Amino acid sequence: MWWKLLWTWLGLLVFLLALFIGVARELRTCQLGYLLQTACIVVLYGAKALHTGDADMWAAFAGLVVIRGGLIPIIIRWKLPPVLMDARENRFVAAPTFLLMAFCVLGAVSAGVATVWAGRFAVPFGFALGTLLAALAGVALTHQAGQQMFGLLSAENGIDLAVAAILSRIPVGVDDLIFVDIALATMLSVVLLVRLKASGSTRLHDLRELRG
Amino acid sequence: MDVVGWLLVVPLLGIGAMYLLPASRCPFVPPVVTALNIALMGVNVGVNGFAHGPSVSDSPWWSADGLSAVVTAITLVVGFTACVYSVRYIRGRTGPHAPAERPRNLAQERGYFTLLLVFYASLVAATIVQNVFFTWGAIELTALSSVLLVDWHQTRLTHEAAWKYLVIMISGGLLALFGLVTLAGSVDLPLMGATWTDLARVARHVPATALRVSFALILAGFGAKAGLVPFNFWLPDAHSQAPSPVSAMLSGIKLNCAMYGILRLQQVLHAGGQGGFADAALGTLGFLTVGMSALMTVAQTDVKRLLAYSSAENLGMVAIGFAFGPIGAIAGYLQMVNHAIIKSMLFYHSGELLHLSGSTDMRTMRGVTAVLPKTGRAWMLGMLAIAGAPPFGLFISEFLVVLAILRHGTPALAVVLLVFLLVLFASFLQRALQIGYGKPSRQVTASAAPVGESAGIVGPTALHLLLTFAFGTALPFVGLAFAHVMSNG
Repeated sequence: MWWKLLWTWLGLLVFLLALFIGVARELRTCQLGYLLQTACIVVLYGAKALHTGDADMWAAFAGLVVIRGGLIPIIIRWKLPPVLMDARENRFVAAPTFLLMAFCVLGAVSAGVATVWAGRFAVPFGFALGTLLAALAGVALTHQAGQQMFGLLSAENGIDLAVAAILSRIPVGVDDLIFVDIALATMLSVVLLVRLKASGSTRLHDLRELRG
Repeated sequence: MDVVGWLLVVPLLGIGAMYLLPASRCPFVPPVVTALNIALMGVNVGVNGFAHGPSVSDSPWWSADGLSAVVTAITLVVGFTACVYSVRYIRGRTGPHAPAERPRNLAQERGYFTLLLVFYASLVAATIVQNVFFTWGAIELTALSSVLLVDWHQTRLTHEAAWKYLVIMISGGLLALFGLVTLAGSVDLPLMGATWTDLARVARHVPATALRVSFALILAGFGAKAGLVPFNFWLPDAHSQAPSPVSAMLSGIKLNCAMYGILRLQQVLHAGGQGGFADAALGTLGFLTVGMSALMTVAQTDVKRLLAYSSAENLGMVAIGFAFGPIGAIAGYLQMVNHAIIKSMLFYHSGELLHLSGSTDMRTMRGVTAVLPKTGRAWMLGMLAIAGAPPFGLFISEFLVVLAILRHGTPALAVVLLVFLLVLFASFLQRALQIGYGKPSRQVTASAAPVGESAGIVGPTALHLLLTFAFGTALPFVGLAFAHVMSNG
């Protein structure tokens, strides 16, 4: 029972933090949202490792803490200049209220869809799909390249919810592979963000020279 | 480890060698590595392939069935010619033949060739690993390793292209990953090996809805990477801004590797009794892609963007082929091979056109044949080949796609497809004539002297033309002979 409650509340928190990241105005706030989301996933992995006592689970937990909780924030902090992290974004493509409503609708649809197909994994898969879709919608609807990066990180946290639910069924190497992949993607995003900033702007509105 | 595993080990050793050898020798490592891999594949097929039928590997780690063998072979051949062509291309920009304003930069050369080998290794890995999630990881790595190659020139435009590319690749990768996780979560049995064979074996026990949701997510995710509509807007940007050999590898190999992921799951759906859904979804996206891309080619003024839209169109044809039964699948394989061979050749020549006229704007290119006869003629033949004209290989594969649709009992779809192909043919013929013939434009004559036509440039393109010509002329006879043998028992 407590297990289900933990999944439900932490899954809901991960989803709500995805909404928070989607409407945040500064990258530093997005980063805070991402760290909190990751902390929720860490708790889930840790609880599952304790529950099963499986060494593989602990290996996945260690990978999560080291790569997602440690390496990725360090890369971001090390490479992204404070001026970029603190820049305030006031011009949203859609009003934040509308964005929140749209994200909530996506969450509701995801919960409904997952109930139909995911069976006993309906709760984690519902929140995972909701987080993934809300985060990707945020990526599509933002004006800032930096916020796109945090949107993608948030989407990946959503997938981790689903991976955590089925971790006993797949090799643990898969989980660590996903963490390494996302760390590489973050590294590249940071390098490109710095280059974009150096060449003028990280606003997507200014990146429209390639058309047709 | 059997020979297939060495296809991955050799490039990894090559990457290590890049940092042990003097920087001036680095450009020659990728051609040697890729040539060795072709030899290894030849040995593998020679020793095992004909003895054991379509499967040339029994390893639980490495996959080498028909689909894997075809895409791996494409990777090896196009990877080799791209590496050979890169030597001349990159040294012409950073090496001893660089423009005076751009001094030789050995570190930059080493960076380029190292990334090229990482890209190549990930492309090889994507098609030979058996584990479902490792296939996903390798396909992801094909994108991540090529981002900095797309941004190699480091201009504002390349930053823009690389950023769009990265965002779409990661988004697509996440959708595909969720599709795979959904599938793994829907199986009541543990998938500790998590191989494609395992998935196909247990697919019958997966609920139909879960199979369909997984396929839809993977089609959207890998479809974005394969350049299928509606997620292919990154494709013309990345292809047009990347160095020409990288564009060739993106178009000729990377798109096929992403399509490989889709086709693998299509096989799983067929095994699970949901083949009809997979075929319908794949065919629909294929038709949309061919239609949109054919129309977009009409409006292009940039030669590399034109080629990029043509790549999307060809991958659409591959999708259609695999959606229409066994004949369509043969057509799909042939389309993959022929497109990879011709398109990479055209991308090499787009590099020459860029050197020649100083830009990739087709409006500034006229009369290339008069100034660079070999390049101009090869360009003309390549444009005809990619437009689907006989006697080149693409004609055969497109003919077979149409035949498969007709045999499926949907002539209206065949007519629609023929209209799209006609638009594309007219568009390419017009551009080929405009660039190849007529009085050379001022931009073309102004800089013709320093470009030249060395063996490093003519060699790879001649090989590609020869291959596509062979596919277009010899293949029908081989097919007839095979049919004759089969009919006589």
